[in-house]
Amino acid sequence: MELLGRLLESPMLTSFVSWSSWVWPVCEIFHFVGMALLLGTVGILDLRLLGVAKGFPVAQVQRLIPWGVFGFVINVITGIVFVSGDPFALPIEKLNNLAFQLKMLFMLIAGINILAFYLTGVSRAASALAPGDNAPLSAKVIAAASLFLWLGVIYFGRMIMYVDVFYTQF
Amino acid sequence: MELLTWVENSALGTWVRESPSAWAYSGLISFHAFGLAFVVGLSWAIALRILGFAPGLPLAPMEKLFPVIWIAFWVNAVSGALLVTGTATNDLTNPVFFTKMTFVVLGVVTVWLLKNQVFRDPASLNTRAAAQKARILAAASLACWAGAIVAGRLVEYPVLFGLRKE
Repeated sequence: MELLGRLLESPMLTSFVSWSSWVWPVCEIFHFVGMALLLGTVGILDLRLLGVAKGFPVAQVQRLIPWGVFGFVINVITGIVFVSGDPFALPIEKLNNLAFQLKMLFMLIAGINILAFYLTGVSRAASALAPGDNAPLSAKVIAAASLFLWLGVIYFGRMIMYVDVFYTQF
Repeated sequence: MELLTWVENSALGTWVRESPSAWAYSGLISFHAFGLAFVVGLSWAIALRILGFAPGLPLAPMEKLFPVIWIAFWVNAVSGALLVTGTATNDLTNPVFFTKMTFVVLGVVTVWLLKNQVFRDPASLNTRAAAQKARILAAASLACWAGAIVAGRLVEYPVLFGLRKE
């Protein structure tokens, strides 16, 4: 962990953030925009598979996913700024933050969930669903897991600032 | 100002701001982010579709997304109102906060208009005038929610505008 913290230190990003008091808030704005793009598009696919808005042919809903990927990329870039460019905290402080760790864990599981969707043929079966068709149980489980996991990512992301709450609670 | 101080020091305002409960400030602000993701994300998806992205996606079933948007909106109205009780003297004297609220109100109006005008008869979009009107509404909705996010984030940085944060 210590080594990873060292590797994530970036004097260049830190001086970029320090260059103007606007850099950090603007990165936050983009982080929220990316979140809305990701949840909006992945959320519609999840909701469709779960039976809300069943009028969509699933293959067409999947064409929204590149927008979600775009949002995710925005968030990885701005997220790196938050970890490596914080003038008031070293990366190791984020790595040691329980909320940050749980956020990364939920993202990892969400990633595995996506792999399960695309690699096990569930995605192919889902793409074939016409308007009104019920999704198979496997697709519904993956969709429900996806919604839960991404909401978890948002929750633990917000909690990074308020991580003390976890220690007073439990 | 006395009223704002009273709200902030009320039992509710104090609980929101100071309670170590996971349901107090940190929980409310998390729910506020959940709601934001769905209100803005789904509104943007509808707006982008009307503006011509993902043209293969049929428009009519998008109507089923509006109830989800309204639920998410109410999550945010309630969590937002509770958050404001905890920080009333800051928020309700902060021009950036009122800018945000203006964008939110306009955003809600655009979504309501999309629902009640465009989605009342999606087939009408085949006429040129109706399609034009829908595109203007969609672009306005997209912009209002973007404005709400920008102003909403900047609420915490009034110093950027030379405004004092107490």
